[in-house]
Formats: sequence, structure tokens, C-alpha cells
Amino acid sequence: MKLDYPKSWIIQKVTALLFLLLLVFTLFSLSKVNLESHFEIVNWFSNFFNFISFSILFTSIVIHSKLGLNSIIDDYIHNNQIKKKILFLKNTFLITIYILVIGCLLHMVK
Amino acid sequence: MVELTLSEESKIIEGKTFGKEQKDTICFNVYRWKREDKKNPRIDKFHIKKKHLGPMVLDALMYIKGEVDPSLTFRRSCREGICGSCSMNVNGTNTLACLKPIEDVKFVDIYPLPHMKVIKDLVPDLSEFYEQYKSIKPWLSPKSNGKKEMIQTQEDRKKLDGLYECVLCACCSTSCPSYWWNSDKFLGPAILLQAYRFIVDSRDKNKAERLKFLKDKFKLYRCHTIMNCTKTCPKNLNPAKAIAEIKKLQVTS
Repeated sequence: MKLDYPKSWIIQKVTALLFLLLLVFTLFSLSKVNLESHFEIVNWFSNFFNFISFSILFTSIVIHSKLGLNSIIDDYIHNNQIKKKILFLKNTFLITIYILVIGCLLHMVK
Repeated sequence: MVELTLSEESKIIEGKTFGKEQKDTICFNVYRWKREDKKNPRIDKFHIKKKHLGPMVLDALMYIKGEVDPSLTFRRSCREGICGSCSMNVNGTNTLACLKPIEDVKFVDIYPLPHMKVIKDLVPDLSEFYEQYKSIKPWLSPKSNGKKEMIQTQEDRKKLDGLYECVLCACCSTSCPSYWWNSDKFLGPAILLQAYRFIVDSRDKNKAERLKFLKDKFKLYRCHTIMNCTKTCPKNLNPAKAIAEIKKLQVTS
């Protein structure tokens, strides 16, 4: 999907804010969990609110990274052929990571 | 692709030395380059006695040109920060030489505006900059048919403060890393400040058209709020704020 640039600019700002707030919440919330215990971690993710907030956090990170990396690539790479290849690699990487993490989360709380 | 190293012919070498270092002298290290010579750029050292110097860096350059080396080339005109001609990089900061005082130092480094093609010595090629200025249509398209006086309220007039004072010296644009990498596509802070000046002018009827022209990921959105423009502006203007206002207008209108 191609966004016009003002929209993508505002989405980048909104995801940054979401990302920041949810990251603080998640770190604060996880500080009470024993990260060496698999059971406690699964238990934390099994909480519906934690699961949703972490999913939103990760989605906002991926969207923010996508837009941010697009911007960096536009800044520094001027050869269109190379740019297309790098954008393809970047999108493949981000989509793979996203599917893997969300898949793992769903598998964990199933 | 971005080039991270200088080519051999662009590397700066040591140049000539004029005068001798003494207790009462200031050393001006000045960038020199002449296309016809087909040599690398060099830094010439001019040891000038303080008693010969006026208060500003431009005074020193004029003394050097008049009394020491008439081949030194730089732009200058008004000598009071109105024309924007004498923009250059002094001690690492882009500024107007006529507004930059010679402080009580032993060395003053003077270079042309960074990341611009040099025509000769301290004279950069500003053709592309002026083409970009032309592209934003820097004139009013009046709302009335032009037969009547266009009256502005005091509030509307106030919106132009901090914008109309820009003298297009290009100090801000040439201090912007985004402009360094994409000077052919990104308009840069000076031009965007001027664009905003016409967007907010209550007498102009082309606000929507002007905003549409800037709705482009290169023309406007290469600005990453680095703020070098605001820091360096010799007229103490705030181009970064003008750019942010344009971005806000893009989203809200």
C-alpha cells in the first residue's frame, strides 16, 4: 500500500509515541516477572491485556522501523536499482520477523 | 550513492603564507581554489596585524584583498547583513562575514559554504539554490484583481515576522546534512522558509496549490529536524519551525 507522504509522516510520529509508551509499560510490567522462568513468562503473555499491549508494541515497532528505514534509504541511496533491491530485502526481513514473533506469541498462549 | 571519501583532487593541501606570526597578529587560514589552475584546493595563511583589522571578518577579507593578495575572491556588497552575499564558513559555522566579529583569537579559519560547488576561492555556485527558489513561485498571487489595495490585519501581518527577514544567504541550507545528500531534490531550509512565508500570507490566494507542490517526500520531508539551520542562521530566524508548520498544514488542511 502506498501512502501519501504527510500520512506516512504522521503515522511515523504516532507509532513512535505508541512505541515509547508501551515500551515503558512493558518494561515496568516485566520487571515483576522472573525472566528465567519459562512458566512465568508464558503466564505473563497469557494475560489478555499483556498479550494485546505487546502485540500493539511490536506492530508499532515494525511499522515505525519500516517508515524510518524507508526514509534512511531515500536519504542515502540514489541509485534506483539498488534502492529497489534494498527496499525488497528490508520489507522481506520485517514481514518475516513480524510473522515469526506474532506466530510465536499465539503459539505460546494457545 | 553517497560518497564518504574525498577524491584525490579535492584533498586540501598547504598553501602560501603571507606575513609572519607575531604577538599582535591574527592568522587567517583561507580556502583557495581556482578551476583554471587544475590544482588541489589549498589553505593560504595570512598573518595580519590587529591594528589593520576592522571589527568584522569581512573587514579582514577586504584588507587582505586590498593590501596583501588581490587575487582573493569572495562575494560582498552591503557590509551590514542585508544582502546575504558574504555567506561563508567561518571557524566551522556558516555565517555572514559582515556580521561575524573577529574575536580575540590567534586563528580564523575561512572556507566557502560547505557541500556546494566552488566557482573560485570563497565563491560557491548558488545556481541550483536560486532555481529551487524560483520553483516555489516567490511572489504573491493576489486574491483581488489587483485594482484595489490589499489590506492585512495586524494579526495577519504578524505571521510574516521571522520569515520576511530572510536574506537568502544559504547559510542554513548548506549547514543541513539532508541538503548535502539530496540538494537536487530537497528544497532545503531557506527555500522552505520562503515557501511558508507565502503560504501564510493572507493576501495570497494560492495556499492550497503551494501546499500541494510541497507534498512530496523529497521536497519537504527530507527534513529530519536536525536544527542546524536554526542554529546557524546569521539573522536569528527559525527555518526548522517554518518547516514544522508546513508539515502541520499538510496534515490538517
